[in-house]
Amino acid sequence: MIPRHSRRRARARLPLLAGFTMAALAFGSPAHAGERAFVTNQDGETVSIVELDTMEVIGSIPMDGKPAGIAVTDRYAYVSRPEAKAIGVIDLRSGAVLPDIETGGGPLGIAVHPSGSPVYVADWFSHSLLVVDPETRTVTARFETGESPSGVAVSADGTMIVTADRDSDQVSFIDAKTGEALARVGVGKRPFGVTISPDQRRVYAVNVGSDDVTVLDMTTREILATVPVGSHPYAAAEANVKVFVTDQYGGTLSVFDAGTYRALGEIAIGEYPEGIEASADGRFVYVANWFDGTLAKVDTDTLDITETVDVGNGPRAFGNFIAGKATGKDKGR
Amino acid sequence: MSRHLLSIAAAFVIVPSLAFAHGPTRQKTSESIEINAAPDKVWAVLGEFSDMSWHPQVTSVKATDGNNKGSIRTITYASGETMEEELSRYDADKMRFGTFIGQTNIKVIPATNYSSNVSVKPGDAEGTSEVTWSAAFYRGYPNNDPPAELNDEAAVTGVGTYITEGLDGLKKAVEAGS
Repeated sequence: MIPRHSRRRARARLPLLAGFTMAALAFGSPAHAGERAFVTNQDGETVSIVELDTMEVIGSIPMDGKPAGIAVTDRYAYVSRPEAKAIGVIDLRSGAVLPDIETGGGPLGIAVHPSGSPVYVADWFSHSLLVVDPETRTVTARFETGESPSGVAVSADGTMIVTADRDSDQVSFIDAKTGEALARVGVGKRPFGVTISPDQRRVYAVNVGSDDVTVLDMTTREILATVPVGSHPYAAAEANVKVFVTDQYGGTLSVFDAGTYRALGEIAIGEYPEGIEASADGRFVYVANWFDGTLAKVDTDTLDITETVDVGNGPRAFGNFIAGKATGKDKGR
Repeated sequence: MSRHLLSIAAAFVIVPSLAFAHGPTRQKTSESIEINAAPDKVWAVLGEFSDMSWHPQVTSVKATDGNNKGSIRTITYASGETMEEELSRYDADKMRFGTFIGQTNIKVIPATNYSSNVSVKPGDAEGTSEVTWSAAFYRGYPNNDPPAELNDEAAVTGVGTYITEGLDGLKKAVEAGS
C-alpha cells in the first residue's frame, strides 16, 4: 500500500513550484505515487495531469496537433496528435516532453506492448497499424487492418493486438509477432473504442453507429453478445464485474453486468463523455467529458459520481490514460 | 464530351466525401440567455418540438412524433431551405432536450454531424429563466484544406449565429406572450 502521508507531504510543496516542475516533482518518486490520469485536451492542446486519489490537477503540459489518443506505461506517456501527424512523448519521471515520433498519416488510437515497446498506432489514413520503436522513434512495420482503424488494445501477455476498424464494421485480431490477422470479425456499426477485459477473456467493441457493444470471446473470437447502450457510444471499461460505456450524445454512462450482460443502469455523467478507464483495483472508473472539459470519478459499487474536476478544453483521453497502476513495478528502460 | 467532363467533376466531388477523414476535430459552442419569465412558461414554448416559430429564420415546422424520442422535425426556413432534426432525448421534468442532425443543410448551418442540448433553468432573479443552447458539430467540409466558408471557424461562427438568433427570438416571443 501507499503511505498516505508521503503523498500529502509531496503535494504540500507543489504550490511553490510551477508548470513542468510541478509535474517533475510529482513524478520524482514513482514508488510513492498513486494513480494519475493524463488527459488529452484536444481543443486546448494540452495534457492535464490529475492526481486521482484527490482529483486534483497537478500539472498541464502543452501539446499541439490536437492530441486525442494516449497510452501510458510506467515510464512514458505516448500521445497521438492527428494534426501534427506525430506522437508526443512525455517522460513521466521528469514531466519533460521528449522529441516527437513522426508517423505521417492520421495517428489516432494508440497502445503499448506490455514490455514497453513497440508502440502500436492506428493510422486512420493508411488503414494500417503502425509499429513504432520508441527508442529509435521510427515506424518499423505496418500491420494491415480494415478501413479507418480507431481503437487499439494489446493483450496482457503481449501476444495479441485487437483493433476496431471503424469503417469496415469489424474487429481485427492481429498476431503481435507476425503481424498477421488471425481473424477479422464483423461487429456492429462503426466500432470506435476496443477494450480487453481484465481477465483477458473478452473483447468489448463499442459501436458508435449502432448504439451497442459487441462482446467477443478473446480465444475463440466468436461473438458472445450484442448489448444495447446509449446514443453514440465511444469507449468501454470493465471494472468490478461491470462494463461501463461512455455514450457521447446521450451524456450517460451505460452500465451492464460483465457476466450476464444485463443492464444495470445509466449514469448522467456529463456532456459528451469519451475516454474511460478503471483504476487498477476496479473501485473507480474515470471518464473524460469532452463538452464539459471535466474528468469524472465514478464509484463502481454505488454507481455514484464521487467527484468531478475541471481539466482542459475538449478532453478526449482515448486509450489507457492512467499511470501508476503497477505501483512499485518501475522497470525503467 | 460534356457528360465525360461531368463525370470527372462528380468523381472529384464524391471521392473526398467518401474518405470521411478524422482530420477535422469536433467543435462546440454554447450560448445562454436570461428571459423574464418563469421556467415553466419558457418550457411551454421551447419544449414543443413541433414549434420553432420563435426562431426568426424559421417559417414552419412539422414533427413526425411530437415530443417523443425519435421524433423528426422538418424545419423550413425563410430562405426556402429545409433541414431535418431528430429528437434524441427529452426530459420534461428537467426541462431539457437533445437533438441530432445527421444530414445538415450547410446553407443553413455551415457544419455537419450536428447535435445539440437545450435546457431551461431558474434565472438569478425570481420569476426569470436561463436558457442554454449548446451544440457540438464538425465543420462543413470534412476533408483537409477546407474553403474558408466551410472551415472550423466558419462552423463555430455559423452555428453560434443560428443559436443566438434563436435565443433572442425565443426571449422576444416568451416575454411578449407573458
